[in-house]
Amino acid sequence: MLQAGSRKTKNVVVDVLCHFAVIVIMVITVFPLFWMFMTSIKMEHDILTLPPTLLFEPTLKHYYFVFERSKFIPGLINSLTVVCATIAVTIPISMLAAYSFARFNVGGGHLQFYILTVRMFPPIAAIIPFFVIFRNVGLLDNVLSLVILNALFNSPFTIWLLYGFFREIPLDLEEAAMIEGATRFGAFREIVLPLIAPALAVAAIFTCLFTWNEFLFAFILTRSEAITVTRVVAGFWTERGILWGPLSAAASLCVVPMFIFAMLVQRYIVRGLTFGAVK
Amino acid sequence: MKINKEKYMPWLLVLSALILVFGLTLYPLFHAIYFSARNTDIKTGQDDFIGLKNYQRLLNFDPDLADSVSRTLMFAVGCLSIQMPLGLGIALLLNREIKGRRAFRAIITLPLVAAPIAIGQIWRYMYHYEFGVIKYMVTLLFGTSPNWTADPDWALVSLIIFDTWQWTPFVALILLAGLQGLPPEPYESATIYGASALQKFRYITLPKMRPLITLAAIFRIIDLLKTYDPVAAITWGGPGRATELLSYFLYRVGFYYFWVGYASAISLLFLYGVIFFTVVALKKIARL
Amino acid sequence: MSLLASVRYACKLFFSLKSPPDMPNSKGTVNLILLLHLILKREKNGENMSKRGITKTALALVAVVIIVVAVVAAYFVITPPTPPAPPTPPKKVTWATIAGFYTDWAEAISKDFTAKTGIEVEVMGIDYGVMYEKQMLELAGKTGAFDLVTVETMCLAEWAHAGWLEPLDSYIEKTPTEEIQYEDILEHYRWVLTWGGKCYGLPYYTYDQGVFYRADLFEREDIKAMFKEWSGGLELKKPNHEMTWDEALKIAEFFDEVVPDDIMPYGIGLMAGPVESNDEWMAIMWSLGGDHFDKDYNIIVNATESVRAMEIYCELLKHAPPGALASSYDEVVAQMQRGLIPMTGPFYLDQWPNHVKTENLIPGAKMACDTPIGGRGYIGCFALSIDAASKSKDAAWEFLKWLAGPEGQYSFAKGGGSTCRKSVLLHSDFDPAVNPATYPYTEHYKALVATSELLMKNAPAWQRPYRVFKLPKAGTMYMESKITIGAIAAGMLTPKGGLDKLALAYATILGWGYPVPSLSPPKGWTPPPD
Repeated sequence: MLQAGSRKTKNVVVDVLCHFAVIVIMVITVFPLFWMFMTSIKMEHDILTLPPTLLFEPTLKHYYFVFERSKFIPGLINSLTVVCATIAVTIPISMLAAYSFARFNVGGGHLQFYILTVRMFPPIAAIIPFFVIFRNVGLLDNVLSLVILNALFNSPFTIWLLYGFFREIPLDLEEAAMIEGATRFGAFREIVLPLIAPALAVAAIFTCLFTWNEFLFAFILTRSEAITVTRVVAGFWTERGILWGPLSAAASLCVVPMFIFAMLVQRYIVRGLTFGAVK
Repeated sequence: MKINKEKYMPWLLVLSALILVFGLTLYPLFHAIYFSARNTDIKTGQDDFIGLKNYQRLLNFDPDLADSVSRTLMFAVGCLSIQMPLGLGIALLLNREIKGRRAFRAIITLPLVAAPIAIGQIWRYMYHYEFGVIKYMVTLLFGTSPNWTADPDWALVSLIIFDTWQWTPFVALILLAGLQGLPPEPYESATIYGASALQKFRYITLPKMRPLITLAAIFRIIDLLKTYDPVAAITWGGPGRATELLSYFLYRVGFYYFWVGYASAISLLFLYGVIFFTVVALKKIARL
Repeated sequence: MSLLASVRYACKLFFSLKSPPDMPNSKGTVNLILLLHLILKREKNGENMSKRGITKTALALVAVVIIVVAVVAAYFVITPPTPPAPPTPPKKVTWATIAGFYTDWAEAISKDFTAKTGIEVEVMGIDYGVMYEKQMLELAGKTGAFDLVTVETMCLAEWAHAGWLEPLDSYIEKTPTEEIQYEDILEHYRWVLTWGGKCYGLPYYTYDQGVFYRADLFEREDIKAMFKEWSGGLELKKPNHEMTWDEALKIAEFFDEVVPDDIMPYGIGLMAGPVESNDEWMAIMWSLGGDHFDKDYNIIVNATESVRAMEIYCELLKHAPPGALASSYDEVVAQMQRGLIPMTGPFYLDQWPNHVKTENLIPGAKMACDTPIGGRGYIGCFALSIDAASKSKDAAWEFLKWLAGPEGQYSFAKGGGSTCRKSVLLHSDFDPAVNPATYPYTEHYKALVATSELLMKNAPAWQRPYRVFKLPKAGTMYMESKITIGAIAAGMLTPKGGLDKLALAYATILGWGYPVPSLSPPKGWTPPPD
């Protein structure tokens, strides 16, 4: 009896501590984002004050500034275009390659390793050759160059992700279909594709995330026609000094779409990171 | 006919990926190898073949590069030593039957999806020596606070804190998957034998999780060594050189000085270093 | 398959999703694949591949949306790369410049220009921190993307030597004198923007260094008395070129330690961050008579005067607010506006419109600006140059001569800019004594003219004003000094050790004696043309 009682107390204590820890972690996680939104609606004199203000008169003028004075809307359109085009390019290519690696083990592991090393390469080191290539082809300041580079740097991850999912599907299913007279392609279409659909969604989501947040390529390879949202956010250091208000507003606008998106597809993100392990 | 098709089809399928990857990586690779053996100055048009002198300089004469490399390693080790235990802790928390677990998991993914360059600028504001809310809160708690990005001793720590905030959820989610995949039987038998929670953790959980923990560590290390966005957003490599990580050093060499040869030599060695490390680490996991 | 058919097929596929046939219970189905065929298998409790909890509609909707948007995006993305320039000269000029207030103004007046000449101007604002690299990338790549580039004084020799800029002499000769009035531009700008005997740029915005201070504090009787008593009889002088840096150090110490904190907490504002610290140190070094190079082009950046300048700088830092190591020019302005500092170091005179706001923020405050302490400061201006690879040089010249000409500079000054033309600087419209409304914008003009005259008078002939600006590698050396000075200021290097390192870095950049750098020019090295 005594033992049960003390164990129960101990459990309660541990439980409370755990809840407390969860709350603390949530607060720490959310705080910078919260602060970002707060700053974007403060007047200038409330931003640079000590102690930092929690109660203030809100204003939307920084958002107006971002929309009117900086090239935010073109940046938004470009970012959307780049993201969609990158997904449209990366997913089919990765799917085919992953299928090939999973079923036929093309290249005996060496090809796969080469593709993985692409991910290990620091992008900053490859930027000048890419600049030269795109300049010679005339694709500088064009969203196409961003699409190509993002497809390149996201492929390792998506190929690898899809490879994992493809391996889960046993060969018997396809072979059963083929015995019944379907071509390999038909078997793929009817049997495998539906199974792999969630994995494709996961790959698409991750490609979307990485491409939207990508900064370095957008910075180097674009000038005015093809600037993306991340480039606009980084462009608030002026001769008047750093404009913190509009900067926070732009950062909020850059980050919010991804938040909403992440909330909606949150289960897929978790799945992707854990390769389908979490229910 | 069918046999031929069967033989070549796999390659056909991979073809598009191969075109993309090889087409775009071979030129930079050759470019890097070519220029690393030359002393090119775009501005003066000078372009002489100097053989291995760039590598020589790399390994012998350049204290800045050595400092940068050691700083990057310190950064990586610092981040890793915080993110792994913290990630494991959060994963353990998420594994329990706590109210609001779903919400917790959802919120945890938020730092991961924020663009480093955007949220980094906000952190720079938060780290401000005067108006920064971080300094304010630390002063409230501890009475005093370092000047974060303005203090050469603390600037790197500021970056470590930022990186931890953003990437610990990543580690936590991967480890969570592992925890959820653990079978319950060993735990049940351990309870019967009267083991404490701590003992269960040490003797059952940890050994089973070890491969996964190592894998998460490898992912993180590869990304940590490549870190660039936080430096560009928060400290610009300063004060002095205190936060000049390897990627930022490369940026300076390549874009301020336009020393393409030297930058190429460094990037090649960087690439080989990371590949070598990954191969070694993966082989170690294989043996587990 | 046609595009439409593929879309239809995809829709059919996703809408017809049904639970897959019963999969055999694949134990250990979670694979983390390591591409060397290392597979981690873990025991999982019977997870099957059903789509529990995922509604088909949601999945289908997401897929359809993605496909539709991808199709639309693909339409926009498959635009052919820009064709080569047509033979007729295009009537559009692209101008790359620093982003911000003056650029907004510039866009407004470019519309006037377009109305007048029919040439369209696209103003591309680039943030200050990356302006150098971004423009250099385009220039080196000979893309011709920016017809007009904004050149800083330290970089002109470098870019001219590389052949990236178009010499402007022929254009100037062709232009009638009244339109261009070349001699009207202050002399030291004409000097610094000429290289190899040719003119490469015309300035439109200056940020020469002077000093800013709170005149009300320097005029207060109680503070003057405190200073006299503390310093053993010295008078509290107002900062200008007659003051030496040792005296300035004393004043900074006074304000920091003697004056009560509620009146003035710190002694001086410095930009010791990674971006501008070298500008301040250079001004001190020059006023002590030091320089980067001596008469024979030996590197003397680590000589006594420079080390002393660095030591003074580090001493001054002790009396600056704690965030100095992360501060740029906007921080110092903010410090002044909050009443934290009584004076700045060598500071850019163009910031007067920002500094003068202190008078509105602090009751009783009165701002003043003057020639730099020690008599010498950094020469800074933004100059417009034409890209040698530009395809519309004539149109670019039209805009350049308009903006940098007397008319353009007059309206620039009206918009609050810091002009480089003597006639505009001394114009009665911009004299606060005559026209008080212009006080918040142009009070610093007199200081600018005075500084310019000092610069051309104070230096020995071979140094006039600073010969380092003529070296093609000056831009690179400037960037390098930014980092080293910042490191010394942060205490990571000693003044002497850091400057020795900088001297070696200069030698390496110049390529003197590879692999062991030498501080003297090698035999047969010709100094750059004037």
